[in-house]
Amino acid sequence: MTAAVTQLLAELAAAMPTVRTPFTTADRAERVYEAYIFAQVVASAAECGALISYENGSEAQVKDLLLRGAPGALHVRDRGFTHALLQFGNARPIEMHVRVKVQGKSFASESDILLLDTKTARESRDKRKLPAAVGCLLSIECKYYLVPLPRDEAIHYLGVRSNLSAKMQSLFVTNSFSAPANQCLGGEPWPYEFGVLPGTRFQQYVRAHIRQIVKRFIVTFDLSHRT
Amino acid sequence: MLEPVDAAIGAGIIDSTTPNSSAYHHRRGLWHGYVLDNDGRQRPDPQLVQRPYTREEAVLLLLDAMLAVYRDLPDMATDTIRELADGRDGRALPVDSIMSADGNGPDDAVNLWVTETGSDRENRLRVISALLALREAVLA
Repeated sequence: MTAAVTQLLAELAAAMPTVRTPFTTADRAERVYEAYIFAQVVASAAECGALISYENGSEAQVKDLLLRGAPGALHVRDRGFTHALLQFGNARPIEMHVRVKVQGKSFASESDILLLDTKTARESRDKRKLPAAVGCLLSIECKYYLVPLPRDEAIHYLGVRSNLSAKMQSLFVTNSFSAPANQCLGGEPWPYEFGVLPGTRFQQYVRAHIRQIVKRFIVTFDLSHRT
Repeated sequence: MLEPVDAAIGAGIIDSTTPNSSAYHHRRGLWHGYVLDNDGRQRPDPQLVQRPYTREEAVLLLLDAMLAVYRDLPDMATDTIRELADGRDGRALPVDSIMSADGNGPDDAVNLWVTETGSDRENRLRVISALLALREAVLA
């Protein structure tokens, strides 16, 4: 057994210098995970019959996506960060932004993925102020961890969540799992999913949550849309 | 990226245990003519118990973290590029490229997401296969 393991370690040591991986920092991993969840919302919207396009802060269509690397304000247009536009039948279009701030009851907080209707987004851009959570559909918190999810992450999320309007839905999504985080989140009404990775059943559950929330929005505009 | 793994191994693992839950696994029935009611009035109360990682668990945690870095995250990036470029049967505008900024300032770098070349992928697969073999050896 020891000889076999030694041989495998030697193989690993020989193979590793030939590989370049950009994922040497947690920050890079978080960016990829957010983009992956962004793609899940796009997939879910397409499955539900939406037409999807991408825009910069001036509402000009783009095909090269530029995603935020730090929390920002959606009304700041300097860098031309991209958002997705989801159009369902006759419903007011929904915008999906990455890493933008939302105004809560007492303080502003970051939303990794924020879905809001165009009216609220345009008000934010025109008045150059953060969108109020009460006018937003859904905020998704994305957490990528190589270890069991720390309880503090769940506590922090619930603290931020309590500052937001109950009218805005939220979803906590992570690749990881831990019993302490499950204990924290399990006692609250907000949906959460552990183990969300490509090809898993948990990915399907995330898409189902998104569909339900979008469906309730669409029905206020278009009664014939079969979301 | 792997530093939190060392910290997590040092801190130990927190598991859930459920005292009194076993009574609920016993089905109701008759025992020497008496009706059994194992449900009683006790409510199961899951509790968290902290313990150190075993050596095997610690090695597996490290190997899984390395698999995340060399397999899961690169595959996730590739899948995301492919999904957004796909066009979803004409429902979505196909994306030409994805870039992510390091920050929001004008001087912050912008990273273009690139799909890996065939040789890069082969090299990565060699690392993944060695990690998977090590994982199997630990479990054996």
